[in-house]
Amino acid sequence: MNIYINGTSAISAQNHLDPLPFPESVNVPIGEDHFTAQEPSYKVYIAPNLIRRMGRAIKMGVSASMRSLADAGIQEVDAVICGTGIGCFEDSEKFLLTLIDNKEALLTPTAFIQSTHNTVGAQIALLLKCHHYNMTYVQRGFSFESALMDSILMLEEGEAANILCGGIDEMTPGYLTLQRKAGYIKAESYQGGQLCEETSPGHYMGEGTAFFVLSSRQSGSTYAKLSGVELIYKPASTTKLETAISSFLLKQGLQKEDISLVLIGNSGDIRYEQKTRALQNSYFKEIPQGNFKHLCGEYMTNSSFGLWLASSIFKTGKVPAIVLTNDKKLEKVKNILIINHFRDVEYSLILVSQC
Amino acid sequence: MSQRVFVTGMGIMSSIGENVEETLKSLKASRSGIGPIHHLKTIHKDLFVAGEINRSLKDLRDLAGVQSDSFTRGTLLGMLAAKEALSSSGIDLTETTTTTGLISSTSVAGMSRTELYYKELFEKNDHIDCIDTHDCGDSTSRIAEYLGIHSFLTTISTACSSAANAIMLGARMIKSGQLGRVVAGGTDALSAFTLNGFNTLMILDKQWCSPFDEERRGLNLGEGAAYLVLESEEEVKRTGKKVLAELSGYGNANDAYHQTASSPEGLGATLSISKALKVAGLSPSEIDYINVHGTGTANNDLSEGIALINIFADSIPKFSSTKAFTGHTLAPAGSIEAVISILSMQQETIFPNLNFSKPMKEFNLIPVTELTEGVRLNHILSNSFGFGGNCSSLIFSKYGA
Repeated sequence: MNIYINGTSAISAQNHLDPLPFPESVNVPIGEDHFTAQEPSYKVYIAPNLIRRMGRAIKMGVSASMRSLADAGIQEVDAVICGTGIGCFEDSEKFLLTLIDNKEALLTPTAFIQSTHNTVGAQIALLLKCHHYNMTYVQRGFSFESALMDSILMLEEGEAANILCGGIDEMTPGYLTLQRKAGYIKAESYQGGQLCEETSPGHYMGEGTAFFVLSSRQSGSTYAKLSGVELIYKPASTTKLETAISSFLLKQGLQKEDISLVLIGNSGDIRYEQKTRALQNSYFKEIPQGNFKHLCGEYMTNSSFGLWLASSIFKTGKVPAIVLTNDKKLEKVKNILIINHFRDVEYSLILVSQC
Repeated sequence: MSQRVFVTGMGIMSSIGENVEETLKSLKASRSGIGPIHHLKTIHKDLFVAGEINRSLKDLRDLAGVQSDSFTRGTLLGMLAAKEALSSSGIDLTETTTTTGLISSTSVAGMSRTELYYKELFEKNDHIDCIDTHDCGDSTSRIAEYLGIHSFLTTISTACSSAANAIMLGARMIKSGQLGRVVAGGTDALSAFTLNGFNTLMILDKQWCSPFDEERRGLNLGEGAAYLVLESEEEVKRTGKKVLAELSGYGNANDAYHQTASSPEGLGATLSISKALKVAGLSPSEIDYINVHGTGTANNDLSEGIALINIFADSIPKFSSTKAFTGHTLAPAGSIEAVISILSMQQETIFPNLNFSKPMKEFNLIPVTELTEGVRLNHILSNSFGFGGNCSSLIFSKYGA
């Protein structure tokens, strides 16, 4: 069956819920080692007394989901399915630090209540009074992909007509510090570039959210078709990854030449990108290529930003020059394949097609 | 495409037993695992009782046969329970071509380890790998590695309904033909974080919890892990394997009432139960026993009781909460109670709702309080409800019933 992306909204370093088109002025953190999301004015979406108490992941996720619904022109959905790698880290950290500092005394419940990983999905359900299916996935680089996979399954089961599906991850100063200490973040600051020819270890940390209204019916607001999602766990070699890609495409009745644009999610960490570099330099050599992680930074659910970008390209018919990483000529964009990976462990394929 | 999903293996680790056999013994002897806290580092050690597994981290590492201190308590519990599940199903993953997935769940994740070191992570360089063992995905990746599962894995975190949702997703993926076999369940260790969190909410009972009792004071926390092996009808037919039970129904709904409290009308619970009945194609009167969520908090038991009345009206099936045995184990509660439900079915025995003496004033619901043997249980409903309004219900049916 066909599955349509009927609405979307994102918060990232590039945008704060703005609808299309992709911003002309690109916001990249020259001289820094991380991409901070541009936060919108939350009060449009959330009551002020709630905003004060909510962690950023919750505020971002809830706002983007509400904006997505408005974008799709609907008020209700049949399921809310979220993915998050680290969940509500800010609230967890807040409760934990107070617990340690106060030696387990004088604690208040708010941060604890909001620390559970399903808080964003729960808050969306509360705001929408949505009593339907509600799920949260938390498997690193598969978190958002699992949410997409479940959404597709549910639409195919006929159990839902419209699903709100999204990915959310936040940074906190503490999380960033520990990521630096653990050697995951590049020692050198970002000086521009598209992260597909880096020679050093580490990535640039990022954060953000993107939500989608996935539907079994096409509407006036449809962006594109979500043609397929595949999760590939720890492919043993580049050849295995290529085989998985070609059989995925075959299942969709496509060959790699049918891909108008491949977005390869390179974070720029030389330690983890042997396979994606190989795809870039040989398997997909003749195909127009792009990246998205130089626009949003690295986080466990940034494939949701990739999907937002692909959706935007279909809606506007334009591919921003900053996205493109090779000089192959772009024909009319019919199929965009997003290839993502998180530290060479969780690989995923998301195929988005013209309606 | 498989229309039916069968349970062919199970594994469990909790304060009432480190495997299925020990668990059954404790259940039959009405022996609770809730007692003084020995291993968890907390200043509230003497204030609360808990369903703690009487094993140090080192003991658990030895049991699992691993050395590194980077394995969190929850991960180790999960590894042990999942391994029992797989071996009880007689599966040798090196000799099978069936696509096998792991769907695990956790809510505490690596917090039990992170909380020991978090402050010093910023000052020293020791245990910096906490940043890699903190997230939920870490435990599932390690469990998958331990079992040798490479085809598919994911993790669910929907608070106390997590493992029920993992089992539900497993069933749906088998029915859609994406997987032939799934190891599904969850794991959570005790942590000072959760103990203090529940304490701030004032829903912890300092004594033994008494679910569905008028004088109930709150819940006892527990820890543990449990996994089921789910297989498709084709797989069971092909191998002629012994079926423990059929997973006949499942339902997921959201209460959408409050971030932590359940609605007074029990709407989410009513919806998840009715969805599960619909999937199973059963009428309420066909349910023989309910393993209720029954945490022992004022709020849950009232809301769940109302939901039972909404569905079953004045013919409420026999029911009991087994939380007074294991404590509330959070994410794995749904899989731990799935194992207990299947044991009930196999043994034709209802395990009692311990510590009950006085019915709640709001309704006349009286749980089974004595070990009741010789009852044929064809269809068992198991409920799991969590923070965030997440409500899930599973129905297990006797094979051939």
